[in-house]
Amino acid sequence: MNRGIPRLAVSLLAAVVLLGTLPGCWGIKDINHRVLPTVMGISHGEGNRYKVTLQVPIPGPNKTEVRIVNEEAETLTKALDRIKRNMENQVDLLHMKLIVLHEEVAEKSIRSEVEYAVRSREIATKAFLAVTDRDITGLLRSTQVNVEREGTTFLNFFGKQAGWTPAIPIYRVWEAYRGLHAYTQDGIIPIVRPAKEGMIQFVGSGVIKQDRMVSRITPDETVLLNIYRNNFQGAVIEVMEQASVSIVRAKVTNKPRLVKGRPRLTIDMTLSYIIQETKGSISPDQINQELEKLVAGQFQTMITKLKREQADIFGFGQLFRGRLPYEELKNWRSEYYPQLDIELRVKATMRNSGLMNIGNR
Amino acid sequence: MKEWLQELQQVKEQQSDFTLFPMKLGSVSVYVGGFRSLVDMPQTLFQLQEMASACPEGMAGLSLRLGGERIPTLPEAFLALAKGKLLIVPEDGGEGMAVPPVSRKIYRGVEESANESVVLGPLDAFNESLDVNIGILRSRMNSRFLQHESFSVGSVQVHEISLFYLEGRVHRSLLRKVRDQLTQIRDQEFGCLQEFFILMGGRSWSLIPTALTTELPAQAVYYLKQGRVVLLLSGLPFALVLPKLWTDSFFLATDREFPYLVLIFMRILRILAFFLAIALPGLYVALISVNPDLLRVQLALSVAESRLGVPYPAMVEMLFVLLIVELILEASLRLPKSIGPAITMVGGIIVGQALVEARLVSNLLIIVVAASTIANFVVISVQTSFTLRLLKYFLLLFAGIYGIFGIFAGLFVLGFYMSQVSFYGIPFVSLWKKEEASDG
Repeated sequence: MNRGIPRLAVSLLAAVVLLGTLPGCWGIKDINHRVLPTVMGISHGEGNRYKVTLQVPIPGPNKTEVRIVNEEAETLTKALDRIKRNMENQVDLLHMKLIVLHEEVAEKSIRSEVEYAVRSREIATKAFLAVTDRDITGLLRSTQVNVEREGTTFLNFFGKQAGWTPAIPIYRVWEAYRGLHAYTQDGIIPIVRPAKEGMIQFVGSGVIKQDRMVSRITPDETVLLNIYRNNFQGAVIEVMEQASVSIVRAKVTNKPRLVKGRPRLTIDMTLSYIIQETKGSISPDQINQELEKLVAGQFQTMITKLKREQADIFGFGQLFRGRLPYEELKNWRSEYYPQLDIELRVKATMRNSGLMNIGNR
Repeated sequence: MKEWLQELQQVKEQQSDFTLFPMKLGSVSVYVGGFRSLVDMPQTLFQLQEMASACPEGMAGLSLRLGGERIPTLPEAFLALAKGKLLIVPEDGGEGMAVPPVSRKIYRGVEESANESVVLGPLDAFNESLDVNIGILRSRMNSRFLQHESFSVGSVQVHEISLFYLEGRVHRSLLRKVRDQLTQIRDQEFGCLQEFFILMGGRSWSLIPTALTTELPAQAVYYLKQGRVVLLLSGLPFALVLPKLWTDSFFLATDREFPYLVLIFMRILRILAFFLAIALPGLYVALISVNPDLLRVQLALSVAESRLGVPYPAMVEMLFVLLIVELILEASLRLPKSIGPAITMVGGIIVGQALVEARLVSNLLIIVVAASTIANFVVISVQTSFTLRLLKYFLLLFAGIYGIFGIFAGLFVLGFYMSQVSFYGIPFVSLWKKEEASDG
């Protein structure tokens, strides 16, 4: 029954055997021959344009050792290239989780940095962006101990499964890239500082208008933004120093319309909350009223400031995309946004008062 | 017509276990011949004497009395002898007849199956005797619709093949094609199952065998009821089910003894195991050397740590350990049952522990190989698990070159391959359907 080996099979087999000689001989390197920096810092160097700092965990037999390396050069690529030249293993930016920009860089323009990150195929566009107003090398060095123990301090700080809270904005590379090109949406970036004992201190958020950081908002204002964005997992609001409530549900309805060329927006926000803490006697009605007043007040203050900066971090412009001609959208930030009338109607309802009756003392 | 006796005398001289002697059955003088190794002579002769005691009229009467079968030609007589029949030839020559004797018990009894284990459900399995197998099948089925057709294939070595189907349920065009094929290959010679599959229309380079083998009568009955065709071959302790479909590697008839949710769970588990068995080694190589960006950074670091000091690239490392595992598997098939566990110990301790401690391979690799090997044997049919052992190298190669993309490309190629296979007009990658009305 020998039908002979088909010719096709022979040639396929030959091709496969030849392919088998390839592994190891071209660009593929095993994971233990790569170093995987997790954090990159970008700041202005002395004389040179860029100073690039990398935090590189290097696994050892017993514990992970962290190295901080930096180089200065005219371009990011050149600086990275110098670092690569000096490392014994291949430097792979595949696991770059965080890019920390110095405030000076962020205030000037982040365009070329973001475009580099998007253009280079190495850096994932889901990497986080952050800003610091302290020395970057110092920041990376201060977290060294924790990284050596766990390997992932920064990642935990922004990770929703780990240390993230609604007070911390999440700004990823792709969002920054979107911000560069979007007419109707801006973003906010977390500002961090080194703190004692290898911790990171979160000091507030930077408002990024297109490619520049134009102002700052407080953590409380960030919480409000995150509630509006329905991203409020465990958000806690203090009401009049008498009670703390935690938001469990936020329903936001936007009603945008154009009246005589002027954009108007009515926002209905229904907040359900659970009481966390009370001081003295306070009734549910009081809490509701205070909460509504607080949120609405904070919101208007924030909007006034943002309108002045022409930075649309809430993305209100998105709501008017269908109502304005495409050509006009270009002028959203400069012409329409400052004229935007916003009416915010907040309705607070108490879900429950915890395991105690309210006012029961 | 003395030539029959002469020929038989000649056989007696050549074959030492052949006996031929004159005796008187009733009033007829005959010669009785048969193989002592196949026929229990004393018992048979005793019975023949009893049955023929009051038989007055010649050969015709004797034949009627003993239930003999007329044998017109000598070659047929030899075939009947080889099959273990007793040959009775009249003293004066003339046509002989074959009588079913008391056979020697040269088959093992009905036992539990050796390769397919059953949790809930009937435990008995087919054995080597065709008659016993037919009996098992009939007693399991208990249906007047069960049809049985007999074929013999081969000219030198003759194989008795029994074709079973369920009247009214069977896929008629399938039955017709199988029947035609069996008639066509009447004179073809085959020595092993692979050759038989090729005779039955399979391809010699095919990864997927033409027929499904099962040792369990319960399985055979299940397939019969579905409308498939079951073949029993003399000397083979399992039934061949035609056609084979992809679902047969995952769906077991005795699954139905369990609650429905459990059944679904088990079947999903088996399908999952199929993919794990073929993809895990490839996935390891892809993640370690081509696409480490897909690992979480924590995992990437701990994997990198476990690979510290490993001298070979991931691909070589993987091939090295897979080779050892294949050797262990192959050795434990060959080993006597009493030594088998020792090899398992050696395999587990030496391969697992020592390889890692010697820093030849990484910890993760051992986990991956173990998981893949275990998953390999979760799928039901023995044939499939052997095919899977081969397929994982195919995906490993793709993964080593193209990474994750390669694994998916490999799976696609595999999908294309499987979907072009069909048996008797029934695609391999299809769910079994009752025959369409227009068919047949």
